[in-house]
Amino acid sequence: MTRLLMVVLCVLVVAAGYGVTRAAADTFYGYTAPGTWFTPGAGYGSVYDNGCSRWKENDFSKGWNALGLITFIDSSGNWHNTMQGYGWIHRAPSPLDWTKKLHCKNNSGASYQGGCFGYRTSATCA
Amino acid sequence: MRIIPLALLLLAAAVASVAALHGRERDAKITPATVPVSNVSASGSGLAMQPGSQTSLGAFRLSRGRSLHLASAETVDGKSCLLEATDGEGSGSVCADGGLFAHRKVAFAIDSQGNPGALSELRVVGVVAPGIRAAEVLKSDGSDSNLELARDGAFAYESPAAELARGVYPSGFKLYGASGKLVQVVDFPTRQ
Repeated sequence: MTRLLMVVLCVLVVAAGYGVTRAAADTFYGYTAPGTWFTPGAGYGSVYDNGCSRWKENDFSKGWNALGLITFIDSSGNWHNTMQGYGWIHRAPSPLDWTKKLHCKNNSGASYQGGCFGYRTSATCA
Repeated sequence: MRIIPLALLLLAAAVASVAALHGRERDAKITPATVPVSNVSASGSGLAMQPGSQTSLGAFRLSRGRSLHLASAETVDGKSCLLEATDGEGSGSVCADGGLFAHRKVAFAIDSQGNPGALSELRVVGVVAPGIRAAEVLKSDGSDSNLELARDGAFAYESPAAELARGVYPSGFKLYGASGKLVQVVDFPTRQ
């Protein structure tokens, strides 16, 4: 019986080791499909985050001649940490612990294809 | 006989530790753990940087006592990036295939705080290509300002609050070569 308990304990220790590692990973979330057409003025947004899992990064993948913006929108609709640029643009805000959603937009006068995505911290709530 | 379960427990703990360490190393590859400029941690989870490719472009003092750090780096899939990090605001990057200056002689990002049409803060940060000796930032009211270029051609321009209040925004660059000849005009084709 003691031996069985020890084996079970060993398995739990190994599982816990892997579990801690897995929990540390961030979660990828695309909030547009890859290759989405962005007409002038077109914008897309993610869902809002929450205290269990925070958006930690906003990315807009597009071509070298495509100007666009990414931003973080708080629960009152206000924009924060906006970045505009050509090519692949990425922004990671600090601090993270505030309610926000991701937004990307074609703020140029030309249409292009691209994709918007972000990363969320792993869920800390059960 | 009691030594065997104890040995099994120790072995399991060792395996768990190695697994956890391995996981941390794997995570480090998608975060810029190798960057030498500690404040520039802007490669992003979606962009894996070439180890050792980061070059500091300098630090700039912004309004309200904040510091901006700029750097360049290469991704493992061949993109060239301009990385930025600002105290208390986080980090960001702008990346392009074929080199930072493959398509225009300046790599830049426009950062702002506030809603469209009511910005509380706006700055243009970037780096000019080798051979560019002077640069101006053009503004939407037709005026311009000289950019102070750092040793490696990096710059940071902050819009004055009075200009933001009047709705005057940066609208492009004029880039000049060593002889003072105009080399390139870059427009921001933006519309909020």
